[in-house]
Amino acid sequence: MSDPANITLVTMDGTTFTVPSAYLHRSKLVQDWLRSEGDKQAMEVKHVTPFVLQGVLNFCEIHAEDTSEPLADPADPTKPFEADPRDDAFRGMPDDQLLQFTMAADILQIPELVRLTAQEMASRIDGKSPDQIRAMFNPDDLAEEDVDSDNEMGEVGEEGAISK
Amino acid sequence: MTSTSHALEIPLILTNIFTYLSCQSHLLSCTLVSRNFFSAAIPILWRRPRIYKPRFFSAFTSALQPSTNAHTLRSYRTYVHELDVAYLIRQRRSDQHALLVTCLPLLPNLASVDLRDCSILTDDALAILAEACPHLKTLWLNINTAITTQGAIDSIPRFAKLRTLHVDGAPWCTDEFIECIFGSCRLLRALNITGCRRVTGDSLRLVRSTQLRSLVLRQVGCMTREQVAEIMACRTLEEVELVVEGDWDLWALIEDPSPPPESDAISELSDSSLRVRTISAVSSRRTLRKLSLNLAKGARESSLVALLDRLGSSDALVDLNLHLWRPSETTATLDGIASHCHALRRLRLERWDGDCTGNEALRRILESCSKIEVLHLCESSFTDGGLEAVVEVCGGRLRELTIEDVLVTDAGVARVVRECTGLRALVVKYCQVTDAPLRELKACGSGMKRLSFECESVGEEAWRSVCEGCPQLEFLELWTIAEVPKEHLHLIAHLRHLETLICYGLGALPEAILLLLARWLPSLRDLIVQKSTRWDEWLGPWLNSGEVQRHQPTMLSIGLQYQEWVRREEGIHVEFEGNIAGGVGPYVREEVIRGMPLCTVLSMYSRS
Repeated sequence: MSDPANITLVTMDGTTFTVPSAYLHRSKLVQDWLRSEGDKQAMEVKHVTPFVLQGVLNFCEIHAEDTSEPLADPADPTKPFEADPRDDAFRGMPDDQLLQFTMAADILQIPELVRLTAQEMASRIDGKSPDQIRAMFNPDDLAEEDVDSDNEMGEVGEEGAISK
Repeated sequence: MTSTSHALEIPLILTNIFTYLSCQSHLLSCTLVSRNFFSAAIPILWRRPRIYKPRFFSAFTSALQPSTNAHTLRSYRTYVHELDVAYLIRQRRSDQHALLVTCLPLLPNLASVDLRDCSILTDDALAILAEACPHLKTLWLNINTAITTQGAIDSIPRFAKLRTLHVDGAPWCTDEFIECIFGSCRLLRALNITGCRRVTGDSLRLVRSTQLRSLVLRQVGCMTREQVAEIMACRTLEEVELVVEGDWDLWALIEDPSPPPESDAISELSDSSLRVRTISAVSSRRTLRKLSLNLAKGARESSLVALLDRLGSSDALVDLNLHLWRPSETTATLDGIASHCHALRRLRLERWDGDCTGNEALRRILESCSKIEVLHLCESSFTDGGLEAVVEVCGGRLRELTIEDVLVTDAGVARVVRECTGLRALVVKYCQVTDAPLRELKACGSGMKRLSFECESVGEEAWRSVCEGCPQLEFLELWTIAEVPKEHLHLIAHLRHLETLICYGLGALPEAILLLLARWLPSLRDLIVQKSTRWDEWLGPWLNSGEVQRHQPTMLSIGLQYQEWVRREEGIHVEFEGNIAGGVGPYVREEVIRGMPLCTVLSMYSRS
């Protein structure tokens, strides 16, 4: 039986992190796990590297005592996004790292972090051409068929252009 | 597979990111990156199409036809949830009627449609809309004159899922219509009937039996005190704006409507006896989050303070807007806010006119209401001392500040700019200030998104400070840039996110500045300037001459608008022209629209 005040998370390579459960009260995944499988020793967080998980836990620690209402939907337009100086670390982050944080936030279901990282990523995409966006996300990682399908996409994209 | 590429394989992550893209052209770029990007971006792109160009409206409609969809795996018409064609239909082109009637029934998932000021919307078109769009939740029908009361009564109740209805200024909105929708639209949660003089308390008293959360009653017909009390007895109301005429006073807002109080006797009751009588009603108003009141001449401060006591004590009231009746206020009103409304986040004080103790009273409010983030001070007798209180008490947490027609100086406003580093919106109008406060923007690294500043002239230093100090600006309103040296105008290109630029004075700048602004500002959507009389001579002929390059960003004149500031300039004769230079033909108009991918509105007016 694990300590109920703390929770241990295991990353993809087996690295473990033990933090107070209260830090992760905004993570729906962790809360669900605590309710259903809280008696187990550790929770596995697949697809998340130790570096990224450390960053996520830092975010959770910084915001552990926030009194704002939990965000139900990261894209809720009625909740305007306001930059928090405590989150400046995410603004200077390389694109691929930021994307991994977005994924980790999505996996752990932390809406506040999803919104923060998605908003930052969107602001970097804003105003860029398709080629510049490809370069952001490392073209080597895009399947060849994706790159070759530009023309086809272009036709459909033009269709989308009517909505401008 | 790397973590990055793995992340890109998860559609929800891309969807989350694309949701925050600020405009559709950026979404369009994303559709061209890869298959995954395309799949994630297309539904968002089609979710809320904004169609400004007449020729695109017909293309849009044809793309929705079932015959077109047969050639694609994607059913674009099911992606459309909100349709914004208001700008298009305001052009009053007769050929849009058929398109509108054809287009709307093709959108089964349409949840929100803006049909404001739509002269082509008739009873028949409304009936078709009601038949074809059963999922509609939000409907704007403001200022539509082609609809009849009977037509509205026949159609609108058929929107069974309607939750928000705006019918401001609709001449067909009557008591009969209101009674009808209250009886049939059981899911209705927000209603705005501003300016509907034919709606009176006779029908609005039925609000009590509805589930409304938001109600805007401004300039509607007469109501009695009992009817106001009945409206306020609605247990679900969270937001109320009241500017109504009739024989009632503030007690009607908090009294129990049954049994109806005797108006003569009520003024004789002591405060303590009223407290007993109203206790049951107070419990039903604990949900009130926003209250906007335009106080009548006869409103007494003691009544207002008692009202604040009742409503503020629940800590639910977070948004208070008081349009006071000058010039009889003491600090009792302000002290009432400080004493009772501790949960306030937004406060708007208009026409508070007292003595110099007002600044200290404002300080007490800010100290007591420790959550205030949005503050509007309009036509009030606060001075620099009030701004000092703002800076010292809530400088760090303030997000929006509006100062209109207040006796402040350059030093006071400059201190606000310098020390309120969290400000996202600043409005300074009708104050006797120069551009000195603007010069502080560059040094403080502002994250401001909206800036509206009125002063006689903006010099080079202030211009540079605005352009380089506020890179996040989305809305900029300056009265004039005539004094800015031409060689520094290009600095505005720093404002990559600017969507709206309003500038009333361009001085002797040539009309080419409009072309340059469109090029320098990649996110620009609305450009509103005062037309120089000099341009009249040749601008129209030049546009019609065919010398305008096909893809050259240039200008258009659509939707001439009265500007609020012009309306307030009493005694000045204002001339509005129906068309820029009177000579822009439809061909040129469409060509220039095509040339400007984002800049869609350029309003011009003459002022003599």
